[in-house]
Amino acid sequence: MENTEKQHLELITEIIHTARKSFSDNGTVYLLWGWAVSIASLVQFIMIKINMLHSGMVWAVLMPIAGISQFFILGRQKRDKKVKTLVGKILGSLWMAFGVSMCIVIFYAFTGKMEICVLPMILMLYGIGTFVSGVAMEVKPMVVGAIICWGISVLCYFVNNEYQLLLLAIAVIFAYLIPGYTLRTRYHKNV
Amino acid sequence: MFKELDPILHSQLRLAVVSLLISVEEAEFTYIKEKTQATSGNLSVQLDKLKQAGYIEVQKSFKNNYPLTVCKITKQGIDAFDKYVSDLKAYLNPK
Repeated sequence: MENTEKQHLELITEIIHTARKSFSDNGTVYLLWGWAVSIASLVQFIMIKINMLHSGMVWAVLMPIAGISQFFILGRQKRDKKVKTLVGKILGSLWMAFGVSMCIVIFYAFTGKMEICVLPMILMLYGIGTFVSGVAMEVKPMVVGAIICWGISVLCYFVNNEYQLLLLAIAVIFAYLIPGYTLRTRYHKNV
Repeated sequence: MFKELDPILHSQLRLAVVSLLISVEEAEFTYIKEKTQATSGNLSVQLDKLKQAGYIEVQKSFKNNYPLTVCKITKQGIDAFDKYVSDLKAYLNPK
């Protein structure tokens, strides 16, 4: 009889452990934004260096494309999802809060009232999003990426606007691209 | 004197279902079936028993023209699970 009770305790532990792994992100959204932001910042940097006009247009083109793609990717992920977890719910609201905060920063950037510190502010927000996500999903490269974002955000103080773009590309490689590929590898191992 | 273990939870499959649902917000029937490795028929019967005991909520709808069953643990289910675990511990480690 006691064996049954022991087995039941083991069963509970095993099932809870399995369910904890149920939150699995395949990293697609991180890779999407990682590539979009790093390409946009590098292209704008090059355009500024060769004295091309309207260098900011690269953002106006790439960001809406990334935004629309994300909308479809998330829609498909929601359709295929068989389980809802608390971690998923919290991270969903975190990134929604991130999106709202980004819109506020971009609004101020357009009004020209905080031109100098737009990128440091954006990097600070990247840091918050990736730090919490990295801790919640137990993805160390993401936590490291967040710390790099904050470090680079401070470093921006010492460089001018065009070199801040290069720093942004580096930050995004560490905060989105490397963790994105880590998540993708982990996802394919678990499936 | 040992406390009587909750007969609703003292079944391997029903316990597995409740342990699974206690760890997630809600889960589809196919997910529970996959994780517990139960047959559809057996799982349906056990889900019904848990629902009748008030331990879980079962919502039936359609997704892409296919029937969709989503299960969620209730407050009563969480309390029963907590009590079951403490009773199990007391059973295995009597003072």
